[in-house]
Amino acid sequence: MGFSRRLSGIALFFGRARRSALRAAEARGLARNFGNRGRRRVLIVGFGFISSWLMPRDGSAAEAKRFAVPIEKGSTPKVQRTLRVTEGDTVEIRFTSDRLLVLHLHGLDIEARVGPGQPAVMAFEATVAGRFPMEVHGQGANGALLYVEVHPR
Amino acid sequence: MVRVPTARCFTWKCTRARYDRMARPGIAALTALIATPFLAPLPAGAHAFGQRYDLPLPLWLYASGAGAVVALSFAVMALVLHSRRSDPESLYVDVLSLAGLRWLGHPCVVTTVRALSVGLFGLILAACFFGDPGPFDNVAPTFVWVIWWVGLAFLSALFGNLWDLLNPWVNLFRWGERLSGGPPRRRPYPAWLGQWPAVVLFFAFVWMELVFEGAEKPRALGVLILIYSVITWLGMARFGRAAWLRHGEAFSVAFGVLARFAPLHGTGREAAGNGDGEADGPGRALRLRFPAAGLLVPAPMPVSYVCFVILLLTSVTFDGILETPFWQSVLAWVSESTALRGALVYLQQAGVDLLVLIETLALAIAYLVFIGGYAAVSWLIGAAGSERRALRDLAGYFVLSLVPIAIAYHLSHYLSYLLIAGQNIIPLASDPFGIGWDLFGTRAYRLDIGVVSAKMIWYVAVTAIVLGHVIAVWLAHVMALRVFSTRRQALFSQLPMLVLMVAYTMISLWILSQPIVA
Repeated sequence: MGFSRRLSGIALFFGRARRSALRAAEARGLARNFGNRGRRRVLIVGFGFISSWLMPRDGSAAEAKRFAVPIEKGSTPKVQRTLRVTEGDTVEIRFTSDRLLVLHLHGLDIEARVGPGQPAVMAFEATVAGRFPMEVHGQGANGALLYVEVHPR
Repeated sequence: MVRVPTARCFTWKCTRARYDRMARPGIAALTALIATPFLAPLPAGAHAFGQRYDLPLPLWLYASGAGAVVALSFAVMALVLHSRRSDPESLYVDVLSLAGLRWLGHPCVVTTVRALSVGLFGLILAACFFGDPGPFDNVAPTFVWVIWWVGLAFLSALFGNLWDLLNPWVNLFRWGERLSGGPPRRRPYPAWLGQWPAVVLFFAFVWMELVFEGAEKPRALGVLILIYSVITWLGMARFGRAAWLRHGEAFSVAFGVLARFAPLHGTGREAAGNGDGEADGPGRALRLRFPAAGLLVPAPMPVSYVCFVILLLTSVTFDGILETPFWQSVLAWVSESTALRGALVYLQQAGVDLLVLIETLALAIAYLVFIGGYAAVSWLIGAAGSERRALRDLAGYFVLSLVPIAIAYHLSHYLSYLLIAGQNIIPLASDPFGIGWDLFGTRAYRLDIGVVSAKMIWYVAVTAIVLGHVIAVWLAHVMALRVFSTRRQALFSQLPMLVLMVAYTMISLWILSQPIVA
C-alpha cells in the first residue's frame, strides 16, 4: 500500500460511515434515488466511489491464509515476526522447528508442540480483531516468537 | 513491566511460568549478556486467556489524527483571538438542589457508601494475606490495578472525584477520630513542604506500577497497602486529615488532578479545605460545571504541585513507550554497547537486576526531560508574552492545561485493558480468595475478548486525543488572556505552548501507531 494512497484516506475518516450506509443502500437497489436528492448526495456518491477506490483492498473477502514458519534456535526469520490476516479469515500456520517447543497463541488459546521431524499446524478462524502474541512456553526470555495481527474488515 | 497493571498486557496465566525475573520478555538482549540464561521450567497446563493487544493505528488514521490536531490548534487560536476574557468557572448548576436528586447528599447515603468502601478495603486486605498467593486466583491484584487504579482514574476524569467520598483511609480515620472524641489540635502543615510528600509517594507508586515486578503478587501487595496505610494515618494524625489529603495522600492529589477535568464537582467543607473541625459529609453541594473548567486556576499552582502534575503526565506516557519497538531497540543498544558492557556485567554479578535498573533510570530521565521541557516552555511563554513574570508563576498557571492531553492518552491507552482485563473481576467476585467458592455463580466466566472491537478502539483513541488536544489549547489560551495584560501578548505567549502541546499529542498518537511488543 503506497503511502500517498493511505494518506488520501484522511478525507475518508469523515466519510466512512456514510459510505457503508451507501453500500447497504446500493445493495437494496436504492442507489439511483440518491442522484435526485441534490448536490450533496451526488457528492456523497462520488465520495463513495473515490473512497472505495482508495481503500486498502487486502482481504475484502474472507480467505484462507496459510503461513509456513520455520523456527531455528527458538526464533523465526524477521519477515515472519508479524503475520497479518483479516477478520473472518481462516488461518493455518505450519511450524517446523529444530528443537522441541511448546507454542502458545495467546487470546485464542491454542497450543501446539513442535520439534525436529515433528511439524505442527495451528488452524483457527480469526473471529476477533487484535494483536495476539505467540509465545514459546518456558522460553519467555526471548519474548514473543511472533505476533498474529487480525485486522478489522 | 508489571503484568497486572500495565496496559494492554494480558499475559495472566502465562506469567505463572515466568515468575523468575530472568525470564521476562524484552530482557532477551540483556540475558544474552550472561552465558547461560536461566529458563524457568514449564509448569504443565499453564494457560492464558483474554490476551489481546490493541492493533497499531493504521497510517491513514494516524495521519488524519495528526492533521486534525494541527489544523484545530490554529482554529482554536483564531477563535480565541476574537474572544474576550472568559470565565467558564462561573457557570454551574447545583445538582443536589434539583428535586429528585436531593437524596444523594443525605448522610445515610453517604455513610452507606463509605461503609461499603471500607468493607471492600478490608476484603482486599484479607484476600492479600489469606487468599491464593498467585495473582490470578486472588481478587486483590485485579481489583487494585485494574478496577481501582485504571477504572477510578477514568471515573475521576470523566465523572467526578469519587475518591474523596470512597477513600477508605480517610473514612477509617474519621471514625477513629469520632471514637476518640473529636480531632485533637494539630500542628500546622509547613508551607515549604507543599505537595512534595505526594510527589515522593507517587513516584514510588509509579515505579511499582511500571518497573517493579512484584506488586502483582497478593502478599507483596498486602504489605505495600499496609505500609501506605500507616504513612497516611501518621500524616493525618500529625497534620490533620484535610491538610494531609491535600499535600501528602498521593491518590487524593492524583485523582484530584484528573477530577479537575470532570463535569461534577463536590464542594463542601472538606473540599473547600477548611481543615479541622469540619462536619462530616463530602460537601453540601455537588456542582455540574463546564467540563475542564476545574483546570482553570485563579492563582499559580505551587512548584511542588507542578512537579506532581508533570509526574502524572510522565507516568502515562512512559508506560506506553515501554511497549514500543523503540524501547526494545534502546534495550538492545544498551546491552550491545561495548562501553557499558563491563559495568553491566559487574552490576549483574553484584546481584542487580539490570532491566529494573535501566527502566528506573529511564523513568527518572523521562521525568527530568518532561520537567526540563516544561520549564523551558514556561520561560519561552514569558519571553514571547514580553512581560516580566516569575518562571514559577508562569509554570504554575499553565501546567494544568496539559492535563486533558494526558487524560485523552490515558483513555486511549487503557480502554481495552479496562474492558477486557477488567472482566477478570467477574469470576473473581465469586471466588475472591481462590478457594473454590462460587458466591454469585460466575466463577466459570470466561473473558470475552471481542467485547470491544479493534476499530472502535481506534476511533475512540483518535477522537479522544484530538478532543483532548483542542481542550488543552483552549484552556491555555483562556489562562493566557487572564495572565497577560493585552490580547496580543496573550496570543504570542501561546506559541511556545502550542508547540509543546502538539509535540506531546503527537507522541501520544505515535505510541498508539506502534505495534505493541511486550
